[in-house]
Amino acid sequence: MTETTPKPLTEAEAEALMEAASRALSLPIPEPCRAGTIANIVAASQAAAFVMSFPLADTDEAAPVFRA
Amino acid sequence: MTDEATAADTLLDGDAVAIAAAVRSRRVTALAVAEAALARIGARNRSLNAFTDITAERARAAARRVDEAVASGRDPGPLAGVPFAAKNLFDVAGLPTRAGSRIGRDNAPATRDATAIRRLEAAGAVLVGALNMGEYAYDFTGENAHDGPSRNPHDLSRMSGGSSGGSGAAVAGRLVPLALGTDTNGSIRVPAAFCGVFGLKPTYGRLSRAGAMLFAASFDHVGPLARSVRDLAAAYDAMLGADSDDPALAPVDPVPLSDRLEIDPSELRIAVAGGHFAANAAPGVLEAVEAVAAALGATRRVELPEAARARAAAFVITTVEGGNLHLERLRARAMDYDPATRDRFLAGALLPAGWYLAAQRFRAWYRARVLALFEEVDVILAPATPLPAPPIGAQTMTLGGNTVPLRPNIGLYTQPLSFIGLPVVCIPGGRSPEGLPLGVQVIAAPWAEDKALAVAAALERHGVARCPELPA
Repeated sequence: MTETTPKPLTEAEAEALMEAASRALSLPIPEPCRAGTIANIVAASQAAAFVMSFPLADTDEAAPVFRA
Repeated sequence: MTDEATAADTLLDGDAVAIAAAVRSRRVTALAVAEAALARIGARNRSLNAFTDITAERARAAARRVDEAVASGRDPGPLAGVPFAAKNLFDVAGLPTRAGSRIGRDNAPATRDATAIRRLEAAGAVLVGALNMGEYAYDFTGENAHDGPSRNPHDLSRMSGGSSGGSGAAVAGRLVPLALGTDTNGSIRVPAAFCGVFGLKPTYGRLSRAGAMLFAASFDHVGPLARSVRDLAAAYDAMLGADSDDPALAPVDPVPLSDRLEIDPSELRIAVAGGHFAANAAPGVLEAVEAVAAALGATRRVELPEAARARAAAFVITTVEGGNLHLERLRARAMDYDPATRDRFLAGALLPAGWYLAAQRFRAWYRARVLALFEEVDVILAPATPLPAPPIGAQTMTLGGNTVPLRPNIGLYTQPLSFIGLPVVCIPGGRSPEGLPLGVQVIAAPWAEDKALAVAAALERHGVARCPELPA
């Protein structure tokens, strides 16, 4: 992982992301779900950091299937 | 029990193709087979909890139609009179599609059957019910907070696997010879492995998903679970074909495979997956793969590059696509979700787009590298799960000497393959030291289901792949 690739989030950072994205998406997080949601954001951030530490070229296009 | 009822009940211990042959040759009626299956479900489902809905009257009506076709000399179809059931995320006309959820059972009843069900019935099969599953398919355990867990027929205290847990339990428990499941990250292969049956996850885009509730659309596959390879092939053949209702369905020729199971595996280049797929397994798991490789004379090793990162990328894409799919429901009814899925869906809905797109771009890179491997080999063998069926309720497992959360890690070996849509046949390949079934993945290049099924069929002929007997 280089200095510029994302690091896994701390719990506090994950909570801040949850609050901001919750407002952006108008998705309220019920109180009993907050701790679990934060834990899962942290887990996803670990996976995302691992993925994003891999160098990709401009020619590596996203994979989803789309047919017009 | 009458002679015909006894004969029909005995047939349920065999496979679907044998049942269809008996019905087509008038040795037994489809109605007798349907009644026998309904009786078994009535007797055994209390302990297995595999079925959530039983469509008895529909089954009897369908069976009568098959018998009328036979009596009038019309072709009743290759699956004539075969009882089957579908994971309850498939639309069944007249039933709300619950997809393992509490919320889904408030839906209006489906107005038509899913394409996969329609096509199996057009081939003569008889739907007898809908099957338990992990909520909204976000599951590897077969547990469900609303319906209770489906249970493993080899040990009722253990998980069936998920998310198609009822499918695995119903087929392994001899309630039906054939069941429909779906596989996003392993949801056909994990229950097939835990329950000791065969499962086929076809190439992404091969079989129509129309009328099946999606989970992570860019990974979702439909496929069968059965107790023989020829049954997998017969079900696959019946479900082939174009369908404008599934935008992911690829424009490829629908080539049936039932008459192509005799390919000699010695003509194929077969290798065992190393690296990621040869580490972190419980005792017996890798030995099962080696036994299969030895039976095939396969000594070559290959390594799928960056498989661990592929799994991480699959995790990100799954949670984002799943969270986004459920956004409206999460806004309105988050507390009605199964606690085991709720917080994962909520988190997935909130993640940055940059994470998702990086994972999708890595997916294209990985796909290209793995396709290059298939220039050198035709079939790759790998374990299906890192451990046999855990006890119901277990929360952790040991992986490489470390205690880790159980749920996400059951998919250790399945996720890097469905990530790029490869066709995989999961075969029952031996038992763990504690006597539980173990699965082995037979993996082929995209659109080469014929090779994976032919290898599985050869292993079945040699007695290496076979469904283990149930405890007395």
